[in-house]
Amino acid sequence: MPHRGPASPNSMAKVPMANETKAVNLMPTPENFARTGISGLDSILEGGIPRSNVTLVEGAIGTGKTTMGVEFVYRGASEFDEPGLIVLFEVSPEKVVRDAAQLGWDLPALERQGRVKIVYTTRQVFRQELQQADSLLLQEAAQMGAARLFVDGVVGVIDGGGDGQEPREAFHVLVEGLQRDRLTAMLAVEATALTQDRLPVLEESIADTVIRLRMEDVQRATTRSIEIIKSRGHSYQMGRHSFRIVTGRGIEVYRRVQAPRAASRDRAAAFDPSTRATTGVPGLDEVVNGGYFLGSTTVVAGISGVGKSVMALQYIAEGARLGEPSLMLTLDEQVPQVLRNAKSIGIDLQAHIDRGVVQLYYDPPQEIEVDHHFHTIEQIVKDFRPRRAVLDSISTYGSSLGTQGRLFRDFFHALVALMKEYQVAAVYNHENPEMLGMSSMMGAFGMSSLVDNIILMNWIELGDTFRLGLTVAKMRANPTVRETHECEITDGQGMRVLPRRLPLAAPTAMAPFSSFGGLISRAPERHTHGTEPGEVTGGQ
Amino acid sequence: MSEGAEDVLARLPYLRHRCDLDLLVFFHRHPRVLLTSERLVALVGYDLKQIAASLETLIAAKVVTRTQHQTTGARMYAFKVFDNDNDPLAPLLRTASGRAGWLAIIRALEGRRVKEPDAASRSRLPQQHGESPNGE
Repeated sequence: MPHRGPASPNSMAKVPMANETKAVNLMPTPENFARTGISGLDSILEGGIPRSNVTLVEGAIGTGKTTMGVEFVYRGASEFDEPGLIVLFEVSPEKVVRDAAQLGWDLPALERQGRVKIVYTTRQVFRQELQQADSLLLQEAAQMGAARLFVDGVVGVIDGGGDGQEPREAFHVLVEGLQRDRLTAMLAVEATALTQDRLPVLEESIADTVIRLRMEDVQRATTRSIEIIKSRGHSYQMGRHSFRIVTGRGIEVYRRVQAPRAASRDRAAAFDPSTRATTGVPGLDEVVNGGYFLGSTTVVAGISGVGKSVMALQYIAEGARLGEPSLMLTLDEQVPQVLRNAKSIGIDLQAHIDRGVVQLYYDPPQEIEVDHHFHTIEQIVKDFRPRRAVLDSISTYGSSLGTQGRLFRDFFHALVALMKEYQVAAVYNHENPEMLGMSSMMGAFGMSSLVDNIILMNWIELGDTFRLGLTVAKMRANPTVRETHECEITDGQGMRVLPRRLPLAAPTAMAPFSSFGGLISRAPERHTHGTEPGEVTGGQ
Repeated sequence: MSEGAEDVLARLPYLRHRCDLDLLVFFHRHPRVLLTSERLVALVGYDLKQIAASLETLIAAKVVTRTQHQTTGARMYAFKVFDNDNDPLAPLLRTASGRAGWLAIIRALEGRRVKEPDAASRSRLPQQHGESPNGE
């Protein structure tokens, strides 16, 4: 697990005993850790912030420092019975209360109950207060039993405030004052105080936990990111994770898609080699040995229009018919369009959704935020527990995330691992751009090694007709006959795989695919021998 | 629809000076402040003497409480927090939130001072509270 933050010898937590520290790695219990209560943050902090830690929240204007600090105090008071104090220097408390209300937090109610107090002061007074034995501020905190403190904008406090104190000394005074009163404190620092995107090393070294918030430019969009730079006394998830500030809810942190999840995910990597999910496409189960194994990864590759989405809908409808929770994730088509398509092949998807056996999730592919997107899928899988899933299509992710860098591959890797952990028989549609034949299975994506089964769909030009071919190119843990099978899609009925050898009475004038060689390599040639008695051999 | 300025002020007989009103609005927006008198003067925009007098008015009316620091000049002022449905200051703050309403209240306050000069001056006699005129 290379992505865990260090709990180095000099980063051990202080045990809250007078004049004594012990080098121990704390267990994340409520006694030792203050859970922030901020959605997703405690997960990357692996339990929360060790109590009495002084946390710096660094970032430029508008990155969400005040929101994070206020939520830290709000969640403490409302969810963990830990009263808190908010200290403001510039922002009017009225505006903080107003903005908090937008996020669904009723600060005035907590103030009336004495569980939150918002104090407006000046940096000079604040600095003096922390040095006074009879500090009114700390007295206020003690009276209300405050366990948390948020100070918004400590720049003028830690730079000495022009009263001759060195910044390090001033910051030391601040930290000592907070730790003396056993307050778990969050201090917001403006980016204007940063030197080349970093605080002066001394301040960061004195603080126990440093969290950096950023606005990241992605093409012409902007996303928010959060990074735990350090946190004494525990391990944490390193790297830049994403977060959003959501109206009515507050901050939601989404662990970066590359970050390791629970060990159970890796342990569940193997698929169940005994139970299969039938495909719902007449004739296909015979070709794929009865269906796809639970926990397996299947890619259906083919150019647009060959019927990948039709197969996907039939796969989902088959799950619904069997009463299996079935999930369809779509980026290419919006929900009404998917429902309409399903209806055109005789599938009433809406009825299955209403019955609760099918879930349909659409996320627009423009400017997709991969951490948030993956988080949403992860939550759906955890809550809905599908037995089968379709993702339509991974090519759209390629367009959004790019296929050259690691992001797409990391995302796909995480998705495959998630589906395996929950033993979902997952099918991923992939739009291969080649119209006739195929020169590679997955084009620029280069992820064939992650995939258990690959089904190639392509047009085959015979005479003046395009006919639809299906070939099983790969099927792990299964005997595979790499023959090309003909498929047809019929209005109101969907797709079916035609028999390789058509009976004599079959109502077709066309020769079956078994009469040809070179179907996939774009050079079909009719056999002159090898047909069996009773087969249709005439026609095209 | 906001009430008239006279009606609003009738419920708050202790208000006499526009500084009383501005300080009240300031404390409503900053219900708990830890400041020196000088800083309060800078934030509200009246001279120290007037601020001190208005502070005494609000403290005497029990709308604001004050805790004095033993060793520094800073004081903690806490505005009385009412339930939303039971806030006697709400009509005043609603009316004073717009310029026209605020001017109407100012005019009404001036009228009140003209009518009751003695009461107005009595309301800010600092000796009643045993403090110096500037509240220090």
